[in-house]
Amino acid sequence: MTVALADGTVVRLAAGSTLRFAADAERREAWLTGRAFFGVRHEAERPFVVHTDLGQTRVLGTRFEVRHSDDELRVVVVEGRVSVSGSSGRSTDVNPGQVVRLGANGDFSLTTEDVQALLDWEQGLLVFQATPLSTVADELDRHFGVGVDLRADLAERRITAWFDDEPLEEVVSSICLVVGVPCTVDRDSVFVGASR
Amino acid sequence: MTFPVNGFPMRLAHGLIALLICSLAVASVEAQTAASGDALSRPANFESQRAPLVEALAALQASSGVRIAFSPDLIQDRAAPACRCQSVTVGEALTVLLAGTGLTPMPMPDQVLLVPEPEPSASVALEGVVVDADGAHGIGGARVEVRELGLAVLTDSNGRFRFQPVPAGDYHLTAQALGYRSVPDRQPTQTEGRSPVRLTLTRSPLALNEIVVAPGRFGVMEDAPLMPQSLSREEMQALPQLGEDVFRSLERLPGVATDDISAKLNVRGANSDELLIMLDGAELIEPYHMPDLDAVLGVVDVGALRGVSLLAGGLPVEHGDRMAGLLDMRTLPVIGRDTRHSIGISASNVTGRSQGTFGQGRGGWLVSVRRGFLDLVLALANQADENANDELSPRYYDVLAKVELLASPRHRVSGHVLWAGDDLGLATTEPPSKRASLHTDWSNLNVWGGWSWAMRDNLEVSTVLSGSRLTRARTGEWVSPGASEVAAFADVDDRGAFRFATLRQDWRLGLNPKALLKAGGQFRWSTADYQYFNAMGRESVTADGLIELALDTINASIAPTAREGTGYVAARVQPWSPLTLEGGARYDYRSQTGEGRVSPRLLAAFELSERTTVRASWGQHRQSHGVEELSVVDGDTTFFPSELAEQVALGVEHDFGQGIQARIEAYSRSTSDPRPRYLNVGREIIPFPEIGNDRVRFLPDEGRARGVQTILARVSERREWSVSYTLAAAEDLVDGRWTPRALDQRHTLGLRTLLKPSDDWALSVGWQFHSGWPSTPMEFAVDTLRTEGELNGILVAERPGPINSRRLPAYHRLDLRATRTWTLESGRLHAFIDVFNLYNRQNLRSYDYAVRLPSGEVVANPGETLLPLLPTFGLTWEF
Repeated sequence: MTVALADGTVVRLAAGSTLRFAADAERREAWLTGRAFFGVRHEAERPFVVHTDLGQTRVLGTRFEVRHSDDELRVVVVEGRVSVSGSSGRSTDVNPGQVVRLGANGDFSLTTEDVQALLDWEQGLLVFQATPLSTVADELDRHFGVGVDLRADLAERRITAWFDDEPLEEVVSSICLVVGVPCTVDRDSVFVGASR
Repeated sequence: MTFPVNGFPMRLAHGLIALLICSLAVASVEAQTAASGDALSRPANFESQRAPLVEALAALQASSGVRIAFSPDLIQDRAAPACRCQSVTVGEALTVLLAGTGLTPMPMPDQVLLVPEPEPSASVALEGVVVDADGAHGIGGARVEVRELGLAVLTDSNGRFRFQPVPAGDYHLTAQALGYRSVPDRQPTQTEGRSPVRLTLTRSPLALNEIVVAPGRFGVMEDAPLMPQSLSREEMQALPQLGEDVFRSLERLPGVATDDISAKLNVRGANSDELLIMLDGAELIEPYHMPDLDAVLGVVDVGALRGVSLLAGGLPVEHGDRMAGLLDMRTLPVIGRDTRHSIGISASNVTGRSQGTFGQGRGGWLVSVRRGFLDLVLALANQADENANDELSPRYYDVLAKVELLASPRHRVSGHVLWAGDDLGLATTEPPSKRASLHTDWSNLNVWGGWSWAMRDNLEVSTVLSGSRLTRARTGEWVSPGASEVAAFADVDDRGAFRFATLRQDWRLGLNPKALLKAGGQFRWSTADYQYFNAMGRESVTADGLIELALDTINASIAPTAREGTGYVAARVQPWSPLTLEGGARYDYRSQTGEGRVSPRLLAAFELSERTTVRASWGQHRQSHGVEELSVVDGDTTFFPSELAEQVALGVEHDFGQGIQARIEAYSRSTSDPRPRYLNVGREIIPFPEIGNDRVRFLPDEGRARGVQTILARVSERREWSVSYTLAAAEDLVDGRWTPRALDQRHTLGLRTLLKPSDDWALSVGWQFHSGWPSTPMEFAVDTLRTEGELNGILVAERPGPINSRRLPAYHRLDLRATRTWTLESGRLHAFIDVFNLYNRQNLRSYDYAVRLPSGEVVANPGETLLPLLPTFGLTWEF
């Protein structure tokens, strides 16, 4: 199940999970049991906090997964940086490609892993929150197994969008339409910003 | 539910006011995603008090369930205008939020892209390829449409397509192909610098309710799913045709017989009144102009139609009261479509058409008006022909209007009007004293409303409430010279008024992906008012050799009413993936005869392979005697019991690839309990058929129609062709002898091709051949009148011989139409020239008969020929 929250954040919930969300002018807070992948819209003045029984995850804008069970809180970061804190008050920062595990006893474990392999359950979902096209290109390459030829001056252009099981042609077409640049999709290549 | 964007409402709720239980949000999103319709038409509910635009867009996205994609670089830190966006659509909200941003919303089914507004530029070519999801091969014969422009083309055998130059801009392309899942609106593309476009279709079994289980279905201007041997909308417009008439264009489909004069269709050997005709869910009664002159045109503007399907191989249970088939017409879609207008003029009429939207695209309207000016054309022709003895002034008009509103994602309501009328005057004089005059005034008004409600994702209910009023007035006289001062005369005053009120409801419940339940019913209340007077005199010879003028009158004034109720239920199941079965029954009650009858039906479709499908049907079809069908002019005042037809059909269709498709079908229909029909077997078109010498009461014991149809067709980008052959027989058992029906065509061969040498030109040629129709010889009785041994008079009486005991010569003709399109600064201009019967074949409608009397005098009954070479032309400007 994928939902868009009122602040623009996109959340995919795993089966059997529950999420509550509340927001006001100063904060955005979510309470999670189970497992969810977050694509948080960046807001410098309004952090996004995910609460679980074992700890909380605080971000400004990023993409990450939170998995919570009775004896472990696991946070996997794809993009941006998050801060995870336990009930003891201890906290740690987690960077892209890193995974933090927080046990019921309050122990932290920070490792660098193949995060995409850990996120196999959310296959089909692509979430971009003001994401640069250079990052988008990498994501498309990973997701669809195609080479993306991105015109150099477009690397910093950003998009906000999410896709759920759409085919490559449709994803590329939508991205290029909102950015306002021509694109071509060949069998195993994508040209963004120029015709082939 | 409100999703505030700034702090004010939140403070009212003590700081945390937006508490969402996620499961509720999920349910909401699912429901909105499943609902059909334009993303811009979805409801939204939020407030924005000059918050950052990105926040307002996020709130809109959350409240509507519609994904919104954009580039933050094109928005920067812009603030959104204040918007109390309560009970609005996504489109309405975006109109407010995007004002002045240079962005415009591009709707997708459940997503809206905020794209930069295109800069005006010159026209560009739009071309591309449609490929299979495996990317290995192109898909030939796929239909590609530019939604905003209403343009569509078919791909060539390599899957390539090309539109003529279109104005630069953003367009939605849709692609459909048989055996592939359609992807309407899922393939947006931008023409500037983006060609060629690549569209991908996924081979997939059709949803259960999309599977065509009935054989004998032919689509015309169809959108989805594609059927082999269909006529595309473009092909329809390019086909040679008289009067731009949708009925006449269908004569090119296998199994359909017409004559040149009438627009009525005889499907698979059936009488023309055995075809059920529907428009946007409502049944049409007598939808023909000039019904007193053999119904020369249909009342529906072909340019206002999106799709037409002809179902000739057995009807599903939801359709009934007709034995032969269903002609189902649907008008152009209007919701979410651009505003467009067109003006057209041809040799037969002027046409105005307009469509547009309202309510931020949630609603749309369509109006089509036609005025036939055959009266002016004929007046000019008569002026040029000083010897003309006939004055014929046919005037006709029709108005078709529709308003449609997507009231919510699950409710669609519509209102429709079809109003048609004729005013026909005919005056004929032939020296010395033969004369006839006729004036008819005919009107057909249909008003109906539709409501479609998706109660749940698997449950849909559609309701149609309709009212119709037909009125006719036919007055005139006919005088023919004879041995005495007059040999025969008639004075006719025929008036009729018919009213119908119908309520219909259809339910569709998807029990699971493999089972679908259909149920519904209809109630119709009908009244008729017949006022008929006929005074007729005819000479005859008495036993003692005297001539007497026998006078006869019919004076009928009856006002029957009828209450007709129908209920049906059917189940469609897929017990095994390639096999789809549908079985059901309908019950029809008719108060005019006190009957209640059950008609069971079975249909099946079996996919032998991805390219080959077998379809079969068996069913009983009953046809009641409607209140408007009483032949009062022939003296009938009571209704006859329902007729019954039992039909079996079996068809195989195969897609050879490379755009080549073939179909072969066999059918057999046996009819019993026929009611009497009154025929003018001499085929002469006369003002008062009921007084013709060739009028007979025809009541067979039973009937049968059998045949085998084959068709092979190929479509490609620049060239299309098809070959069809039908072997058929349609007969009635009369006095122990099987007698062929009037339009029985033993062998029918049809060839047609469409060439597009360039984007601006289309050339279509059609040739058809069929065995000669049966013909009834006329017999002549000659009485010589003598007074005191001297011949002083001869009376020749004409009467029909054995019905349909002879055959006319074979019929064939070649038609051609050339169409040229110009792209103008403001719209497009289409011009066509159409040549009917190019080599001027003299096809006979009836034989000549002549009697040479002993005196050397010749009494002749001149035979009639069908239409000669007939060039017409027309212009249409779309803007």
